[in-house]
Amino acid sequence: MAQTRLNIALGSMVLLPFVLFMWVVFTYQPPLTQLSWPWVPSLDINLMFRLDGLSVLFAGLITGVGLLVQLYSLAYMKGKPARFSFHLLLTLFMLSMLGLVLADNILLLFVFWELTTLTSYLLIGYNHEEAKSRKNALQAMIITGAGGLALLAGLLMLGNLADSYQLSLIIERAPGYQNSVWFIPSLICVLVGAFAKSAQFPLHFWLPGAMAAPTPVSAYLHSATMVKAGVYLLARLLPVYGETALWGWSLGLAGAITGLWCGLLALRQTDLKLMLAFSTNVVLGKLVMLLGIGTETAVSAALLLIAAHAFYKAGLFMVIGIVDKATGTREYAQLRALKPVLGISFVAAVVGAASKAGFPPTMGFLSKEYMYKAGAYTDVFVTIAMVAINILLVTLALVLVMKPFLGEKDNHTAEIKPVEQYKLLWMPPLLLTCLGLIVPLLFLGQFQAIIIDPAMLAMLGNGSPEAVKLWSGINLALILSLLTLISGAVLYRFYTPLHQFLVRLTGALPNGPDVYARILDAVIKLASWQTRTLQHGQLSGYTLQFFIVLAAILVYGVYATGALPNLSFDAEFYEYAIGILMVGCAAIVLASPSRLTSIATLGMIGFLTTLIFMIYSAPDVSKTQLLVETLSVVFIAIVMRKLPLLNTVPKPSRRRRLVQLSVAGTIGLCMTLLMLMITSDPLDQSLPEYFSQYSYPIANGRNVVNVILVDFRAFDTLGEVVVVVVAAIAAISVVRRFRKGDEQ
Amino acid sequence: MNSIIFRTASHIVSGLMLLFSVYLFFRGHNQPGGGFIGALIAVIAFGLLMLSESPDYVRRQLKQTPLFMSLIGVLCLLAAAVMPLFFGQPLLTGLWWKEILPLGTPLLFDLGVYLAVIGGVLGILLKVEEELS
Repeated sequence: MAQTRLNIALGSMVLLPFVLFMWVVFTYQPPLTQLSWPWVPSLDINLMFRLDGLSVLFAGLITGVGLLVQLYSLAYMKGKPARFSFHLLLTLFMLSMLGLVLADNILLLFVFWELTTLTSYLLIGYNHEEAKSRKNALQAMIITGAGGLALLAGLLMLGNLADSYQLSLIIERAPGYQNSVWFIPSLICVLVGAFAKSAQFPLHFWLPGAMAAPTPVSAYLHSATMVKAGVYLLARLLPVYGETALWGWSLGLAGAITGLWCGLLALRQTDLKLMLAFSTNVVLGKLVMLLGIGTETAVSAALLLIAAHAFYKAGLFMVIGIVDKATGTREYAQLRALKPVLGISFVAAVVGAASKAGFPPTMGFLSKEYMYKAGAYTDVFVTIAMVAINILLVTLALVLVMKPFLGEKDNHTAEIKPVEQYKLLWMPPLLLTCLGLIVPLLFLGQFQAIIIDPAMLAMLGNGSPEAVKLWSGINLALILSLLTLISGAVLYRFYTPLHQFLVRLTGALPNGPDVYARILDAVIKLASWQTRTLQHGQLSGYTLQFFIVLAAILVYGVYATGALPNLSFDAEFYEYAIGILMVGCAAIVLASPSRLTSIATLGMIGFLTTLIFMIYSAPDVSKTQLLVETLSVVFIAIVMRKLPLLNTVPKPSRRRRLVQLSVAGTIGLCMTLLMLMITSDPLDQSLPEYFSQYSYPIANGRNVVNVILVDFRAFDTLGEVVVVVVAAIAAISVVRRFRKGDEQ
Repeated sequence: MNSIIFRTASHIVSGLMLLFSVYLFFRGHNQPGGGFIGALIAVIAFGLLMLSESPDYVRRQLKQTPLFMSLIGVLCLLAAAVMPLFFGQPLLTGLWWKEILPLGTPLLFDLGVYLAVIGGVLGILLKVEEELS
């Protein structure tokens, strides 16, 4: 029974991405489809979605790869605990990611952005019983979350500049505000957010750390979707920021450094999954670089690369998952001659690696061609960086196929189990990697018509780029491609010495996780120091701190108001009498050696205040005051029975008492001055007049105070009453806690 | 407390106070009074009983826990707040039925305040007394 229910639930999880994929395909009419539902219209926040070439490319990848990953997980996670919640989390992540790429409102986009951070945290930390898994999940969340904060700031600035939070309007109005002072700060903040999400140097290290996740998660989040969110945002905002010099420089530099450095780091790894993770960094660097160039050719290269990378990287991750399942290890030193046993995986790996290396006629080759074309028109250094990055990728692709799948078995080799009888395990990766071959061979025209042209229209404003072709004659790009392939193969010949050199090099340099750990330690030390200083657990100390802050605010208030009050006022003799009585009572409270006297006198001060309210004809206020005073005397009297007698308690030190005296004196003085200032100006009568005029006709009540409470300002009352109830619940449980503490 | 005079008198006085509290609650919309003031008087009445008898006695007489009362109060508040939405009016608009008696959602709202404050304050009072004695 339980099994059937689980199967139905899992089936629905698998069906959902399929339904969504179909929805995207059938809703989208090139070049643009817009959908909108009102959400918070008064704040200009609507559920606005936009399907154009760029978002449909991402949406298609998210739902399509999502479907395959769900299917793959069915086989991969078989027998693992909490399977259902794993699929559920994957689905939640998919939905947030889908929202992110379709949103046409930057606040909505931000909400989905943070949702992907949260769900990916849960997915990365799925093996929550391992400390490393928890630590890396937290690291990913802190880095992308901090980036998210920067992004929020940037988006808010951008929204204010454009006077709208609607993405399409922001893009439309871009020429109007590009000279504003806040334009560059908003660009910087957005870049920080996007770089953190897309794991650019120096924040690249969270992505390999996130490999603590189960392999389907890596295949999904860290190839096709989450890490591409930053790239998506950059692509989306290209028409806004693309013209600035800072954009080109920062994206070019960040992308090139990430690509080169992470390519070297990838070659240094011995774990195949980590190697793939670092090579994802490399591809993200390439994408950022292409967006930094921002020309037509560069953008088409980027779009092709996004699709190509999603196909081959997700597929390769899945292949590594199969290898892991078959042998129980991902260290290539222990993997040899997998080909006879894992034949289908080998095919998938070869096709995927060919696309990764840019071997014709794969999608990867196509994107590399366009990349070189874009580079050749820009700058010689850019082209050199591109060639170098791609050479590293070719070497990596060779390592990935040759080391584990070929070669001869020896006694270090791990046992290989035949796991390919599970169809769901090998079909998704085979399909994905082969898509990288089928699309450029058969569907290139459709791909251009549905994705590339509309995306160009959205990003660059012109919709007629040249047709994307596999073969465009012998030119510089093709020669560079050949050069890349040959150099990559040569580099692979020298792989062993290169690897040893890189191990020594990276050992000598500071690495990301260590720096991150040191910063985190410092923050925790600061926090605990601050907690020790402020949260010392003494009630009198807390009270003193509270009043010191109050005194400071009051002093500032008096100082800011400036003008000295008008000290001439007239009062009746009984008003003077009440005032003198109150001062006398206060003196008794201070001087009395008995607590009971103090409390009773304190109550008297309250009752005298009631009298003043009575004199100024405010019966409701005075009644409330009277009752509150009565209740507080009852409360204090109950508590007081348990307190030690005042003369048995040691008095606080002289210095402490001086501090208390000065704080109390300051507050009293400032309050008096402020009250005098307030009352020396004539009161604004418009509100009282409004309330007394409309109280009966509108609200059917003659008691203005009550009408204000339950009708005119009922929303305030609602909040206050809820606060009273919550405070009561808290107070009751606190009293209970004390008792338990005593018993222990 | 052991005084028999106090004990006897407290029952009479608190009864009168509770009656007065209800009276204040009802007349609040037109004359001084209202849910909050009425609730405080009721709490003082129960506090008197608590001192003369015991917190347990008050709890038994109440039948409901104070927190339950305050939650009912919050529900009344929310009901009064949401009701206008069903008549196409904005949140918290006062609705009135004056055919028989001048009744309206503000009365329900005030009842919510009344119950919530009684429950909250009395809950703390009883708890403090119980824990300290």
